[in-house]
Amino acid sequence: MSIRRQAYEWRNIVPGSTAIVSNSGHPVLNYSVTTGNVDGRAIEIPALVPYDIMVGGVGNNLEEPAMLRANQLIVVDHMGSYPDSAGLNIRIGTTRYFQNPDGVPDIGMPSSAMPFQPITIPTGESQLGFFEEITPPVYILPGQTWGIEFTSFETLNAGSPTPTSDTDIARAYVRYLLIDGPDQLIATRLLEQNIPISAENIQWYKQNLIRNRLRADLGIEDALEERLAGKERRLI
Amino acid sequence: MAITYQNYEWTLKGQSATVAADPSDFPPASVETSIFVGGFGNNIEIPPFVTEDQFVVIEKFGSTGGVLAEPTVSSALLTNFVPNGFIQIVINTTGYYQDPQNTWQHGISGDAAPYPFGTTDIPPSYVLDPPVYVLPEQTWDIRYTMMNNLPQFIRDWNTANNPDTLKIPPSTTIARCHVQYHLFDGPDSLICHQLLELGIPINVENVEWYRRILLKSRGLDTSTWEHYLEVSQAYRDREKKYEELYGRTRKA
Repeated sequence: MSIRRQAYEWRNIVPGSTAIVSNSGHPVLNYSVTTGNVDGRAIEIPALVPYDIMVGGVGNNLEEPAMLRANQLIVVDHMGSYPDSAGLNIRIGTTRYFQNPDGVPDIGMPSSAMPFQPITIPTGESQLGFFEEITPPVYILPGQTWGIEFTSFETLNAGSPTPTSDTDIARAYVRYLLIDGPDQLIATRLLEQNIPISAENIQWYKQNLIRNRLRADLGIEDALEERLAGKERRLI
Repeated sequence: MAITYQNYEWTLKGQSATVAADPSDFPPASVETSIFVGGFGNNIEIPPFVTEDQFVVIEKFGSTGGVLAEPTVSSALLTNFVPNGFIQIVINTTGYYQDPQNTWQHGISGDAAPYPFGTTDIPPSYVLDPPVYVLPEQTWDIRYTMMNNLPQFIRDWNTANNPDTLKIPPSTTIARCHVQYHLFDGPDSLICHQLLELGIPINVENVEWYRRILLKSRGLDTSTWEHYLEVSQAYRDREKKYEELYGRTRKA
C-alpha cells in the first residue's frame, strides 16, 4: 500500500569483449591497471533502430518485460536520454505514445528536449530541460505491459568500442510514480471520475473518504443516542 | 518537542599514503553497504531506529556521480576512482526501489541524484516526491552500492606491480552520500500520527498548523470524532483558500 517515486536507468555499456547485454541489471565493471580503461564495451546502436531499454538485448536489461500487476498503476511523468541524436518513446502494449503529425510513431522525445546528461558535462545550455515533465503524464494501467524505446538518428558507438569517458556511453532514464494496493484503487476511481492521477490528488481523495467516514460515524452515534434516549436504563 | 532538519553525510576515503591499501577496506562491487553501519567510511554505532516518540520524513538524498572509474595512479598513489554508485532506501526489510519487473534493485544512481550539489547546478533528475515516512518502531537504512570494482583494481595493481603496492591517500575521496530528513519528536510526533490518520501530508507547515488548531481548542476534548471532523474540515477550507488566493489547483 503506497505511492512510491521510482526510476529506471539504462546504459549501453556491458563488461567483457563479447557480451552485448547484462540481464541482471547494471553490471560490475573492472578496470585495466595499465591503461585505466574499463574492461567493457559501449555497444553499437544502429541508426533508427528502436531498442527497448528493459528487454531490448543491449546494455543493462531486466529478465522479463515490465508488466503491471492487478494491484499496480504507473504514472510516467519524466524521462531523459543521451546523446543529443537520441530520443525515447513510450510503448504500452503495442502502441507508441509519441507520433508524427501523420500518425506514424517516431523516435519520440528527443534528448535535446529532455536530456539525461553525464554528470561530467559541467555547464551549458545542453543541460537545460531537466525541468521538463510530460504533461499530462502517461498512465499505465493494471495488466498492461510497457516499455521505453531508445532510438538514435545516427549510429552510436560504431564497432562497439571501449568507452574512455562518460560521454561515450548512451543512456536513458525514466521516472514514474508506482501506485499499488488501496492507493491503486483510489487512482482507478480518480480515473473513472476524470480527475488527474497524482500523489496530491490521491491524498485529497483519501481526505474526503476519511471526512465522509467521520460524518457517517457521527450520524450513527447521534441516531443511536436519539433512539436510546427514551429507553429505560437497565443494569446487566 | 521539536521539529529539526537533520542530515547525514557519508564519505569513503583512502586510508594512508604510506601503507598498502587493503581491498577489504572498501565495499565489494555490487554489494549493498549501509552508509550508517556498513563498516566502511564514517559510521555510527547503532542502525537508525525511530523511537516511539519520533517520526522521520526522508526528503532528499544524493551520491557521487559518474559511470566510468577513470582511475588515476601516480607514484603508486590512487588519486581518482569514480564509484558508479546507487542508493537504495530500506525500511525494516523492505527496499523502497524496485525495478519494473517488481524485484529489488540497487536504486538511484549518482547521475540521477548527484552529490555534492553546486550553486551553478541545475536540479537533479530524480526528486523524492512524495517523501518517505518512517514510523515509530521502524528501522531504516540508506544502502550504497558501488558497481566499479575497486577491491579488484587494488588486487590487480598489486599483482602487476609486485613488489610495489597501491596506496590510497586520505585526500582521495572515493564516494560520498548525503541524506536529508525531518525529525519530528515529542508531541510533534503525535501530531504526525494525527495527520497520518486524517490523510494529511506530513510536513513542517501542516504540523505547525495542527499545533495552532490544538492551541485554539485548549481545554476541549481533542480525541473525539467531532474534533477530527473539525480538523479535517479546517484543512479542506485552508486548501480551498490557498487555491483561491494562490491559484493552487490539483496537479496533473
